[in-house]
Amino acid sequence: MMVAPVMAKATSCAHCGEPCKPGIANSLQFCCAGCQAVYSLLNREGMSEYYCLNETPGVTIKPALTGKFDFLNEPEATAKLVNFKDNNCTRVSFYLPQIHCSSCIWLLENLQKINPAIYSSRVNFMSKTATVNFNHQLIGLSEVASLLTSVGYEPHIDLSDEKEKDKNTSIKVWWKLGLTGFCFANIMLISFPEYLGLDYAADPLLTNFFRYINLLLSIPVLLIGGREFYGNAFNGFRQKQINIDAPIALAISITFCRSVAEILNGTSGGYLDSMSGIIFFMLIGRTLQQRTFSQLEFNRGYRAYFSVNVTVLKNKKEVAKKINLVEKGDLLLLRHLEIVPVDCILSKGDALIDNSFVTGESVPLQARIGDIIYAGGKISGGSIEAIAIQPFKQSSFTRLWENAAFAKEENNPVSFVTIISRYFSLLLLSIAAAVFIYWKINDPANAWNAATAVLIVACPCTLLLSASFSYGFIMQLLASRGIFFKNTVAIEKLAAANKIVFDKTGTLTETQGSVKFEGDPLTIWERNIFLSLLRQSIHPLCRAVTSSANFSPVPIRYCREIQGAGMLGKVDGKLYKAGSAVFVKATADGNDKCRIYLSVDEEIRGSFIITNSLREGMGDMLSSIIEYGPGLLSGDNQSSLSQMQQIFPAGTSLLFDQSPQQKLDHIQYLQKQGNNVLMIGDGLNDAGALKQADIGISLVEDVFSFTPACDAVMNASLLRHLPAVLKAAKNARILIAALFIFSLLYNTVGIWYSATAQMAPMIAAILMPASSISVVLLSAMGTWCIGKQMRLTKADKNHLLT
Amino acid sequence: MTVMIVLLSVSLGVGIFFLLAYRWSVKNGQFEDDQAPAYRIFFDDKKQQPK
Repeated sequence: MMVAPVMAKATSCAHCGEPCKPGIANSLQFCCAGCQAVYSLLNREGMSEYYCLNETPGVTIKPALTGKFDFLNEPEATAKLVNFKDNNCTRVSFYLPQIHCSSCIWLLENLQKINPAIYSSRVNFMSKTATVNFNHQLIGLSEVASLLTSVGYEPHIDLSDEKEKDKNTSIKVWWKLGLTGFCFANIMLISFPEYLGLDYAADPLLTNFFRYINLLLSIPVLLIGGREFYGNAFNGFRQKQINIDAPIALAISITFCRSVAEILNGTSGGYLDSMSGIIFFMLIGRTLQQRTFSQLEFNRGYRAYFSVNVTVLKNKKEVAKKINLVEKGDLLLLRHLEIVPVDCILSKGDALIDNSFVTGESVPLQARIGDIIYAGGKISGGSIEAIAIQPFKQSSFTRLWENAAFAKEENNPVSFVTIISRYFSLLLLSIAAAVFIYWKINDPANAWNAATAVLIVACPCTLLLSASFSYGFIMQLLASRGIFFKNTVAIEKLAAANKIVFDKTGTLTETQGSVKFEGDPLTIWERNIFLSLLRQSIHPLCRAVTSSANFSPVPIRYCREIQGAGMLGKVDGKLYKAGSAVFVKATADGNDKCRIYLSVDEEIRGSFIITNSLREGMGDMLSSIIEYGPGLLSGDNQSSLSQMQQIFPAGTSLLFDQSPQQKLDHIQYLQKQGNNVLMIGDGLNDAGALKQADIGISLVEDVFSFTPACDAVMNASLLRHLPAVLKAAKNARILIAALFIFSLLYNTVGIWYSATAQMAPMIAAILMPASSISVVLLSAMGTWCIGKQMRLTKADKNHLLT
Repeated sequence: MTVMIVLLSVSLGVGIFFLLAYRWSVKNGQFEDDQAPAYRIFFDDKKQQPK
């Protein structure tokens, strides 16, 4: 049967660019009332420049809940968010993940045009925050938040204590880099005269002057620039470990001491240019490697999924109450799109509960009065009242978090760079000792020189440089394609994985159930009538169809619901029927459970099918990763078994009805068989499995969604390119190994020259920048090759909306 | 060649002055956001001219 689109031609919303159905013959179309409201607001206030700066810069407006920001008026919230306050002015910072282009900056910095109670505001694009100065006599904090929401930038507010401002670290990093670079450049410049012929014997004053200036300049490099290497090495010693900073700290100290000795003795100019150079390059590499993606969070606990407050009814009055203070017996008022905070019993209202995030069930649950509603589900439909039966901490799924998988604190994961550096340090020390002994026997004058030269030249700085630059480039490369890693060890873990497990709802299937129409295309009028008819019913299927559809409601004077069969309506003398196959007298298809058949005057017109459609390309993706033995762990029931069997290779284990605990257990079982497991999931019910797996990837549709704790966050549209991502991680490992061998060659050549006491300062001075720059260039080229091989288009990493 | 000593000292002095200026600008928070200032140059400050 042909699947025909219901509407003729889709246009895109003038505000946000999302596709929308053509409405009345206006020149501009909007996808929803929200976008239209923002557009008229901006035009009214003379702010249409917002649309001049970019095409369709708007963010799709999500319906706002009334009273959502009332909790901001409490002193506790104010204390956490407010930076500064005096008589007239309060300064507050909001995290707005929707910021993605210059129009966002323009709009958010021109808020005073919309509401004059706001003095000014400033956007920090990198961290996606807006700092607003406003007059708190005229407008309150919650109103500022509501104003931001009304123009499409809803603040994400996190009042947990872990949020620490790290402005100071950014200042320290920039200052360290600038100072070290300044000193390094000047030292290089001042070292040239001596390489190019300035003779100590001929002109001692000038030569000494240059040497002592170098010494002065190298002191800040050692103390400020090199500080973190000493710090890390020392921390490593305290934990009885040798990390890569240990040999580096040793090499730096030896270089400095020997240079000081030689300058004071007048023997030579020392090696201060090499020392400051390697410190500078290594600092750059480290900074590049540690650039985190500040707009994503990899460590969210379940607490972040819930809102801060919930509305409680006391004596018919609505009172906001903190979620963790909700007691057994409280009467809760839960509105459309709110998340159920605690296990409760439905007492009034009828609503659909969408549990797809918590349990993975794709079809919303219809709850009746007296049913238990579990915490974590999302209300879709009207408001309901429910009686809490458990406080927050004893909810059905908080027990998952008590599992041992979450208790084990992740101590700094050991990268294979660290392992190599251990062997390297031992080797280095033994070679230096051997050289020292050898020369002591043969030519005692050379002993110290040769030994210290070995320690200097064999500094594994190129090793560190190759690792940090490669990882830094690769993380940025993968981020530009749509996958964001928590740290560099996660890339190694991805390369090491040999078994992949998928979640179903929201991962392999789209999060939103989609409604497709099959049959002869309906006219706009007929579609409106059918949808208005279906809206009168509370049957879950009807709700699913009407909740995601945009249509103009038509009043139906005569309308009747036949229980368990369908809806009947009469408009303009025609009889419209919508319901089961029997009701409409249609021939039943195999896929009956999720269909609503439609007929006009007993003539079958077609049917609405509700499916959780698979994401594009899943079948091809799964067949290309056969060697990973892909498996399925779903919290949904067996109804989609055939759908899954079609895409997975024959014989793979497809497990359904898995509770979060069962998912975790299955991962453990696979690990016991010696596998390195990669888990890909998106919902709360995957949190345990993601934590237990060797590497967990969270799939995300847009940057507003909650993601459970994981090692990497991946854009949902990238899932079908998973084989390319896996290949890229493996190639990254190969690249770093190749660069290691390359830098070891440098070290070997250098050690040979210095062990045989042939190293001239000029050669050392050239070798150092040559090796560093060549390593950086090679890692950049290697990363570019990996990127080319991935053959993916660049995602806009500022705008995670697909 | 002692003039080299004077030259070097003066040029280092100038360099250090700029280093201190850099330190001031870092402390002032000018390096916190490296993308937004690039966008801001496109904004018109004055009220829009009537079309």
